[in-house]
Amino acid sequence: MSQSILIIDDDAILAGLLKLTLELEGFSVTLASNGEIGLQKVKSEQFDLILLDLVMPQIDGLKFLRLLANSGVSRPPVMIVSSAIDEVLSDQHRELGVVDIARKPIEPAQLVERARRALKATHAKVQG
Amino acid sequence: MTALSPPTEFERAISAGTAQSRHRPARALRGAIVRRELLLHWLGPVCLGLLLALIHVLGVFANADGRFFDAVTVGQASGSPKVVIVERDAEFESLGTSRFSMLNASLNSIGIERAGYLSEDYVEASASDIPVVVAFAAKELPTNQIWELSESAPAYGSAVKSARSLAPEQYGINRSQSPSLPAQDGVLPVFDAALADINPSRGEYLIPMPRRRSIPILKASQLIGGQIHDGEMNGLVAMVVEPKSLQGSLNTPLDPYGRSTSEAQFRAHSVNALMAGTATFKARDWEVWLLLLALALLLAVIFRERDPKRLAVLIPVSLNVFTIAASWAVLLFVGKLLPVTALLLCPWFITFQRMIARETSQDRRLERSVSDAVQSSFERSALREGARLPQFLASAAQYAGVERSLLVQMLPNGELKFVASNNASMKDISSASTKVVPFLKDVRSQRQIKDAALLVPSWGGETRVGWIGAGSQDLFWIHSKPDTVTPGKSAHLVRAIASSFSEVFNWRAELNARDGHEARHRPIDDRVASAIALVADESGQIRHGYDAITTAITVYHLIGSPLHANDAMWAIYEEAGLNLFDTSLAEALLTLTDLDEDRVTALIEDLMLNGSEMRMPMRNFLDSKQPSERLLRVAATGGQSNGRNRVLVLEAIDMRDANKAADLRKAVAKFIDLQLRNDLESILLGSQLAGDKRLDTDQIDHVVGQISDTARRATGRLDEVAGMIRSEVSDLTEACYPVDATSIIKDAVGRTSAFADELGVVVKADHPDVVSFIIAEPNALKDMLIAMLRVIIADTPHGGVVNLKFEECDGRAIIRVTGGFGIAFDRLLWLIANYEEGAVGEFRAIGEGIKKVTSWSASVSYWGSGSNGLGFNIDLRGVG
Repeated sequence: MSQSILIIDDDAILAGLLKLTLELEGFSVTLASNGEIGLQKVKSEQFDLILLDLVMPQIDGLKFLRLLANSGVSRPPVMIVSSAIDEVLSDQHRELGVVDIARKPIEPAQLVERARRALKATHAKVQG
Repeated sequence: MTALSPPTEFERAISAGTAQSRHRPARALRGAIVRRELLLHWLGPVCLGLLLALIHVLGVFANADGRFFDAVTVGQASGSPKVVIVERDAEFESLGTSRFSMLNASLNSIGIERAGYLSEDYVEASASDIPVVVAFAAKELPTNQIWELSESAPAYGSAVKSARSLAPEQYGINRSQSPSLPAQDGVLPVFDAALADINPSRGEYLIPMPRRRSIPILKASQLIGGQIHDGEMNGLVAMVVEPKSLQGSLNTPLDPYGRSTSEAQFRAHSVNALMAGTATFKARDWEVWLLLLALALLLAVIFRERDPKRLAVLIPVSLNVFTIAASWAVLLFVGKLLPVTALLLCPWFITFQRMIARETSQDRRLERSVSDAVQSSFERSALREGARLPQFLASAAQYAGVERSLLVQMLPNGELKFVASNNASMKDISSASTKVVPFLKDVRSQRQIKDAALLVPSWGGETRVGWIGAGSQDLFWIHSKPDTVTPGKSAHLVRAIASSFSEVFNWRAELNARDGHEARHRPIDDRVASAIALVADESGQIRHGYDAITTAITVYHLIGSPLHANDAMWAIYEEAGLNLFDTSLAEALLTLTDLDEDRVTALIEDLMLNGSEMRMPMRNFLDSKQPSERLLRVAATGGQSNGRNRVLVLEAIDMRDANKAADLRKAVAKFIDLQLRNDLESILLGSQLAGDKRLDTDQIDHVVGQISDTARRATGRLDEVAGMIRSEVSDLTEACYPVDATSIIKDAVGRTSAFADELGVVVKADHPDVVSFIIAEPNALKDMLIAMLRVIIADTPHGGVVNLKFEECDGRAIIRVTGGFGIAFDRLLWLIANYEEGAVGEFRAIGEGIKKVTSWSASVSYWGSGSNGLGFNIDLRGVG
């Protein structure tokens, strides 16, 4: 069974291309155009990884993380893919479930590799 | 625009004076002036003193000096007479030739020492008992100017021969006598000197004739008859005279106009003076030269230390009193008549000369100072170029809506000469009409602006002509009536331009006339007044100019005291609680900056020594927690060689515009950074996918289409900001551009937090945690948002909550600020709509913000009710 990834990004073109790239690599990808929709998806479906953009209307990425943390649902690992952040993973990020930060633009192959790494680390953590 | 053409002859004439003044070697000239003044200071008095001495020696003052002599001697006390007059009465004359021997014997017996016969008929029949002097008529030989006696009666025996001569009268008055006359074999004693038995070689002497002196007159027959006791007249001399010699015939000091003094009396006084040693001699020429020279030098010394104008009366009067007293004393006790008149006149002449010289010198210095002041004041002024002034007039008039203008000069012969023009020429002036010159003369004499249709009929429409003068020149300005949408304002402006031009031109002409012929006839006061008016006028204009500058400036004297501050700096001083007049530069820096005293001292020292400038942030007096938006710049002007003119300038530079520009560029850069990263990511992904062989043709076409869309989107974003990046700062300051709403909201909330804390109000802000782009001018938006928050915080009861919410929807972003107890909508509407009529600062900021937001495609709405709070909604365009 393929691993499922939720992409939350308001940029429809970018989200579509990401979806296609990841699907070619065997992932099952779902799209959400903002944090509110993303939150609904997480509550209704199981995802192995969330690729999250930060700059979005209404509920932005950080607010999504806070709402997710407070929602009580099981949190999938989150990989932030955004242009509005440095690639420094802080404790605060870890507390909110963030496992990796990728700053746009990122090479597609590297993105896929980092997504796999994040999934693997999470899987190992769950098994352990 | 009027092109600036080469100066006309008239213009060159107007500017000539300034140019000459400019090229003078001022220091050398000043040195020459000082040397010349020093020379004149001594030379003037000396020359005047010597001139008076010369006049005295030439005898011009003889009468006046004689009058002084008369006044002193006529009233003086009389001693005992040394001479007695013996009248040859008829009885004596009847005694025959032996009568003289008999008289001599009688004279001898009463104690007479010497007898003098004032007649040539003396016959010595036998040897005389006493020495006898006989007066003979003397005649001057015309060839060699020597005298000889006419000895028609040679039977004088052993008697001493003498000349019966009188010294020439002085201005009709006999008061002097010569002791001798030049003769073939030396000198010929005059009768008086021979009778007094004094050395005849002494010069002419003046005869004191005290009114109270009584010369005894005896009859010869009485003496012979033995009526006088023996020895009764011991030590006297007797002057034996004929009755006719006792008749009044001379004008003397005793009775200057009566001719009542007889020759016998006059000679008796003369003999008495010689014998008593009271004969007075005039000061010798060299003594006169020396005395007057000394007095002149004394006055020169006095006036070197003192202002002659202040002592113009005191010094001459004092010296005159001293001169009179000294001359009186010398006359009485030394027997010398000083050059009184010359000595009396000398102080007045020299005082007057020094006053004139000082006035001239002061005028010259004043004129030079004025000239320097004017040159210095107008060194960087267009006014310096007087030659261009007429062209400035034409240009200025054009701005005021004057379509055509012509500046002409009327020469003394009535000919009109071109000076400057705008869209007109001399050909426009009606040459056929003989009324032109009389008409212009009327315009000049009446000082009125008149209809110029007579002068320039070809212009059509309404035209005007006015005399605007130019010193002694006749300048007439002919122009069309201003044609603008505000004719009243334009006409007023044209009048102001003409009036200002006339004033400036006349002042220039007046000042420049200093080197010309006219200047000699024009009082310096007029030129000084013109200069002061000119300098004061431009100072006022410069001051107003400074006030129009938004940058705040204070100019300090080198010693640190303030010289001038513009309105903007006054406001800053007021804001800082400083009084400009008594605040030194050091005190101002200590208050306006965070520098300590040591650093301020070091800063000023360095500036004064090395010039240059320094910049430092200025304190924010309104909110000490916030950084100031002003930068202080302190600079010293001038090089070390010109320390006297150095000033220190304190400038408060408003950084808001610069900050706005910086904010804009930063915001644009951030926007590009964030947005383009998305686009680049899409392009990277797309290009990678497009080459992926796992995709079919449709998928590849879709991906390529996505790449194209992304590229177009990126290009559109670049185009959106490219114009802003290329714009000048001045264009950018009020421009709207993509800005991060989150940071603006955070900033606004932060700036009102202290106010909210103070009132016990909580501000709840709901906004994105990361960037959210909107289109706005950030400072205007922030000011408005702060004002809205402050209004609602102020209206919220203690413990209440003010809400700020940021929402994004369909490409729009809305900032909602709500809370407060409530303000009736009508009242709120009035406060915001009428902020220009004195509403408080917050409503002013909101009102101004509402005006601005429309240019960002944004809008502001608000609501309020008496008790249900109030709120503001800022609807902005989102982007990104």
